Amino acid sequence: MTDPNLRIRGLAKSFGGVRALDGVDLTVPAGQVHALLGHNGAGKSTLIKCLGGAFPPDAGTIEVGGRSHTRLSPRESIAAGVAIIFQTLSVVDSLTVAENIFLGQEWTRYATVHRRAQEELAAGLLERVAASCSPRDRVGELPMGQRQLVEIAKALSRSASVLVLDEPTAALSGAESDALAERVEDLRTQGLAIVYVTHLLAEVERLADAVTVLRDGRVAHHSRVAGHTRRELVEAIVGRPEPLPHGLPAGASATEQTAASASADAVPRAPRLTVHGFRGPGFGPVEIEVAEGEIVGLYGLIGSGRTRILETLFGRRRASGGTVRVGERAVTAARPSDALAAGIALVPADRRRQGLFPLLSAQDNALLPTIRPLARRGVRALFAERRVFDTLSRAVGLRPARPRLSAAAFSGGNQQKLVLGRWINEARRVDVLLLDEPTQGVDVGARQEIYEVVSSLASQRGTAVLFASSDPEEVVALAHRCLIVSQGRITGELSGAQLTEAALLSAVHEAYGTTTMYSEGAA
Amino acid sequence: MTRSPYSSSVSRRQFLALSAGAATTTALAAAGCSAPGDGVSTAEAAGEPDTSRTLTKIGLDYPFTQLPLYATLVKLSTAAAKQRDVSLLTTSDASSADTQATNLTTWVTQKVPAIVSFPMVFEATEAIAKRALDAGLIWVTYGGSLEHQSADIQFSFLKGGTLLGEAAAKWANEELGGKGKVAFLTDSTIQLGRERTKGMIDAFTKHAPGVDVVAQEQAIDPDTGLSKSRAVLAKHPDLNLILGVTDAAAYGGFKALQQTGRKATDAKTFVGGQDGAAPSLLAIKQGTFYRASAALAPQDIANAVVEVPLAVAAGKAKPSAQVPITLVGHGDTARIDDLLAQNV
Amino acid sequence: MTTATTAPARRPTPSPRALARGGLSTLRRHPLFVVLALMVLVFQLATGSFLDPGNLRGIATDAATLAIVAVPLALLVISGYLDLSVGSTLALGGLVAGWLAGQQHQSPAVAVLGALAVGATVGAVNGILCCYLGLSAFIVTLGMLTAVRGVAQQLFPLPLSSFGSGFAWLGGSRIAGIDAPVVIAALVLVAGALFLALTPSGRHVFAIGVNREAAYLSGIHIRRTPFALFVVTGVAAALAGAIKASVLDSVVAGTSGAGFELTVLTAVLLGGVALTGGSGSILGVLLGVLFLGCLQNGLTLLSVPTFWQQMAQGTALVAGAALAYFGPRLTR
Repeated sequence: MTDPNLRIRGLAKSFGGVRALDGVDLTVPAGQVHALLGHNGAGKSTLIKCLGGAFPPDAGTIEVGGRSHTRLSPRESIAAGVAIIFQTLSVVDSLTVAENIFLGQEWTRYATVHRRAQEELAAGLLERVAASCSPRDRVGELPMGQRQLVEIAKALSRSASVLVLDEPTAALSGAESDALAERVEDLRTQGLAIVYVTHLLAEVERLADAVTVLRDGRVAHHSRVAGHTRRELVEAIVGRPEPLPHGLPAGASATEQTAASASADAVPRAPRLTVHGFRGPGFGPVEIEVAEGEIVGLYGLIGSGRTRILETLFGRRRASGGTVRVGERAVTAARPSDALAAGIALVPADRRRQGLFPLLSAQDNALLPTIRPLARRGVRALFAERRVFDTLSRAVGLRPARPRLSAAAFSGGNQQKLVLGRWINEARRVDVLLLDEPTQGVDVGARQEIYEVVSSLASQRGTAVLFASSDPEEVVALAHRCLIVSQGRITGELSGAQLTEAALLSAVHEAYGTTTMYSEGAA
Repeated sequence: MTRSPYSSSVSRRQFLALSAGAATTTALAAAGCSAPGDGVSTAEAAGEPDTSRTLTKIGLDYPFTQLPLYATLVKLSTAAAKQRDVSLLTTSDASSADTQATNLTTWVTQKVPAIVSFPMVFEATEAIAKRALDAGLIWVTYGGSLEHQSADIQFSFLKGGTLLGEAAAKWANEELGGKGKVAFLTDSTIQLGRERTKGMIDAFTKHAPGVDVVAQEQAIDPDTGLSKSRAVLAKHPDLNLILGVTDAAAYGGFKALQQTGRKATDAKTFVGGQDGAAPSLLAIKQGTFYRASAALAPQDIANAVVEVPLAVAAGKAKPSAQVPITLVGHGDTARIDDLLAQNV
Repeated sequence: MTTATTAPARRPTPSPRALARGGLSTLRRHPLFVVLALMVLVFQLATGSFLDPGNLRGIATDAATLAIVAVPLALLVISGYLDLSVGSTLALGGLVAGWLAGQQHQSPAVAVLGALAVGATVGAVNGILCCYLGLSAFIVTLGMLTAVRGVAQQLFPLPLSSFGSGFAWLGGSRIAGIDAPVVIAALVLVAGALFLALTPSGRHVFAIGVNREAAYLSGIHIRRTPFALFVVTGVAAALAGAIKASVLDSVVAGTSGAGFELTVLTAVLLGGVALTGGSGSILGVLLGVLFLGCLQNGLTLLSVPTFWQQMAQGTALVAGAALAYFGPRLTR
């Protein structure tokens, strides 16, 4: 047996007194897939960034291919053979596939780029990852799954021996995820050491040879995958042995629980949101009705129009026809502030671009639209703000619950809690809450907390919730009722006992047909 | 001339830096400002066969568009040109030597028949002037002289400074018994400023050697004049004289003195500047301690701007002009009123 | 990156130690404070008269006009915009005030209000073009810098002076022993700090600067707030112009406020306001303004020759910026 390709020992890193990594060990031999699991904020991102050279670790060693380093610069990391595929891809949209693959290591002839040689090599690399795109395609025009393969091809071109995939399937459709899983298996047989960061236990079961769970910056669990149940992993991630009050998205029992609670809640109540003949560019007409206290899912693939429907309801995009009512009132939202005035709020999918204020404090992030309503005669009510924040951070389980810490320092799940908290704090009256991919990039534990918060919001305050998702597990876990969206129309509805992952998947397959699974664009 | 004009209190380091500066000034003055009114350079122009051209257009290129004199000069020159049935063109150089070069090149290309230009950098303008002459155009240098030119309009900037320096020294000897403290607001960024500065400091230190020079600070606008004078006054509250390379800067000094509690008519204080700017002239007229300004009459300049090119065109023997500079002080009420009337 | 909270979160009431740490963290966030203190010390030791009350008064009066414009400009920069036209607006404001007071014999109040109205107009034009039409603030305000200067020189080609004793009150009178411009600047600074800390719009300014899209989706007025800041910046520039006109009892259209825009921007950036928007504080701006004021004054006191002064100023600026950047890292 050869030496392990990646061996991390005693890695530690702190940020201003907060221990993000505390003596973490991780060993990945060549030809193995090692799943890295953990709560957001558990230290996964920090570990990857230390490996990629973004941060210098405080202590510990990183050994790649037999050579030991105490710290790496990004350049040294690449030279050592580490390739990291981040969630937000680092490909340049305006360049071609080949140009992207050889960016920074261009093949030159007579001091100019040797385009043909690059394209030939790129074609070979693309074949190795079974990508269907051509070396001359512009990356900006490719679907997300293909872009990811381009990035993996780029890693291979640098003869990487360690490949780190950071939640690679978060932005992929089901078919693309399956395709990616096959690629990962191929690359394993080609002898790469693969670190696979994910929240999805199904992926762990399918792909991983070993698993490490991080919690609070330490290794909470390490094992070969075989013989371990999901439950054990979930307990390691969440760190509490007692059964969870609400079904986990991954668990089989969760489906039953949610379905049961959904049918119990499905007592007909007054409609809170009524959407009739609603049209806009790329979708419609659609009919949607959400009752008081009801949680309705919009399930469909990326590009099906889910996001457009939500954004148009919120006034982010202009509607071309139809009526929207909140309770009895007709609402025409030309801009988000109109929608908010009418009691409609949106939590957008792209947290980094549309939701978060990274430089601002947690409290500012969570209370921004609430500051003015709380203020008295134009002066901020500082004590009331702190009180509302404290209540909110307890309700959503914010970690760390530090109001002045800048939002950029929080993990993805906690950032999402802050954005969500903007609309669900006690000082804010929201009748209709729109959520777009509410748990994208959020780990299992925080995901569960967000579901609980949304459920209790609906049941206790009667808020009508309409959320879009491309994750069938999520829809089953959260929704009372689900509308199937395809090509801008609502093509079906599932509720009660019908609402299962299998039903959702087959519904969407029927709607799309198998040939069009790859056709998608930016939402 | 080469004697250091600075008092013994100046440190060695400063002395070195300053005398280096003074040497540069001397060199530039020698290079850029030949003896005025000798008429030698215009002999060739006068000797040209085409002795009776009729001018329809004169281009006036005065680069310092931010100075109040610009507006006055353009107005008066336009009026003077109109009387002679000539139209006046102007440039907008915004005190940029590069813009000036571009604008002048355009004029030469378009064959503007007569160009009156105040070069910001004399050496850099020589080539353009040569091309203008080669193209058969009339080139009149304003504020100095070039090798290639038809004629020039001369001012002695050095003399303006000297007049002010002498008058201030005389006052210091009479009113302060030759003792006291003086601060100079100077300019070392453009040639005109360096000449004025040199004339002012040399004359003053020569005639009033007993007065301490406590500061020499770069200032040509009132804002800077005010803040620099304030700083100097903080260190030397008993400052007696502020002499400025421009009236604008000196006016800032005038205000600084007043703000430290000096009465506007204080007998032991002297402020003087150069230009004949309206606010300063008014202050002099009111009998304040703003006592003198070395003033050019804008009307004289405007007349020269029109008459010199016309004289070249008419083939006159000595077309060049020397614009007189005079010192205006208390009691010159009629002259002040005359100057103020031109500033309209 | 975040040194904001050094005190442990679990401590319920601020102990003296926590308070001391809070002071230390303020120092860390504003290392320019240390630089400024060092500079003052050096100047005092070298000249012996830097800290004289008369000199300090001079510095304060000079810094006052800078501060009056720097505060609203800082808010504008925090919200992700920029105004380079303030130098010309200052000139136009001063000219209008001087013209009203001197040639039209209006009361000082009318003169100042006239100037403010002109400043508001310039600011509104900037604001409409940048906020509502979405043009680049850099280009728009650079264009306005030239255009407004042209308007000022066209309307007032000759220098104005002798505005009367009533108008001199604005720049020359003393309130409780402090010069009126300094009092006005202090009011502006306090108002700016209170605005940022205590009003909802103050938070919105930061939010817009950090993430405009997210602010829009949070229902914040992403156009109205920066527009108002443009108007306030114009008004402040015109007020500064009126004060300068009053202090000097004269205004020259061509030279008044020339280069002022860069001086103000320098003070703002030196004070830790990021040109990319989203961060900055009024305390920082005050430090930046004082840094520039003390530097200019100290070099004059030392009688440093002109070109050496320029070199020293440039070097000090870079050194100040470097210390402000590296200081917090070294002390960590």
